[in-house]
Amino acid sequence: MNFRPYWQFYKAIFPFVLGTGLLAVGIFGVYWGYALFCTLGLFFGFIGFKNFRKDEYYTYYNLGITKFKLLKTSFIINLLVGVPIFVVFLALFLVIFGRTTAL
Amino acid sequence: MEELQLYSANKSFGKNQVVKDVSFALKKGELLGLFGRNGSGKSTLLKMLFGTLKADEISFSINNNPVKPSEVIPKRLISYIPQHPFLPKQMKVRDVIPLFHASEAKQDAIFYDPFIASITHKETGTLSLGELKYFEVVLLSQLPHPYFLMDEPFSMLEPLHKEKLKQLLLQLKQHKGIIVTDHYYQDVLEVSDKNIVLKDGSSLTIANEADLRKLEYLSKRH
Repeated sequence: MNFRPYWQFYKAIFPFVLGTGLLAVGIFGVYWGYALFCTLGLFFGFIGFKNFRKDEYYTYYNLGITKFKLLKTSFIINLLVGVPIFVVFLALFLVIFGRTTAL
Repeated sequence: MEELQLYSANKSFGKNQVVKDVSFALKKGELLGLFGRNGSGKSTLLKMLFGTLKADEISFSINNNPVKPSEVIPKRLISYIPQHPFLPKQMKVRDVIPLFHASEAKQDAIFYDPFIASITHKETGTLSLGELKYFEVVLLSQLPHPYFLMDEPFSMLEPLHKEKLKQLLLQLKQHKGIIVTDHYYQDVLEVSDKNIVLKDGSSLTIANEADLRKLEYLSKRH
């Protein structure tokens, strides 16, 4: 299986996912931030891709990859990518604020 | 003989029926030219076949096996070059090739194309439309899909690339069934085995340029 297209798609949606995650961390703290990074972040990632890079879906379609398959794979990648980010933020919050929320 | 048979396709946008009971048959080894004026439903028909546009009604088979539009992409039955650029714009040509082809042999087949070799360092977003279209065709031609749809592949191509593309299409159709739609009708007629015109939503078989004039795709004086 050629994993490259899935990773390429994830890289394309990552800025939207990360943006959502950072906002959520700032407002709700690290634990909720991670949860929203993995769920709402992915949702906004897809919305962002649809609005700014819609034509690129044909790259994936031609490779036999449907939107649903992209969603499933991106969800798994996102869970894995989120773990080290979560750990870094958890450590930062504990060092800076002494707790897992900023507010 | 392997064959894609479109029995019927219908699509309306509001009250406007763009595609009306269109049908055709396309064998592997054939190239079908699809003509029609702007808004006649050419791209709509291709997207319906590819499964990315929901048809009001579509019925087709491949090798006598009925196919649902939702099966076309996951089963890799048809590849499709849309009218607009679709490759990730920030990626370099040399990185796009392995994205599509894991096999080194297939990658080499593309890298060894003298023209592709000259643009490998460029990002796809910086290629001219002609360069990009040629690259897209070469890239997708190596995919295993038995049928290949192309929406305006000749647009913006310089004459040299047009000739190369025609040669490529002639080679490709030996093992694929191909549908090409383009307003560069002479280029399409040169490589096609059969042709249809979409007029008022319906498909009409034509043989040559004179028929295109009769069906008012071309003006009488053209």
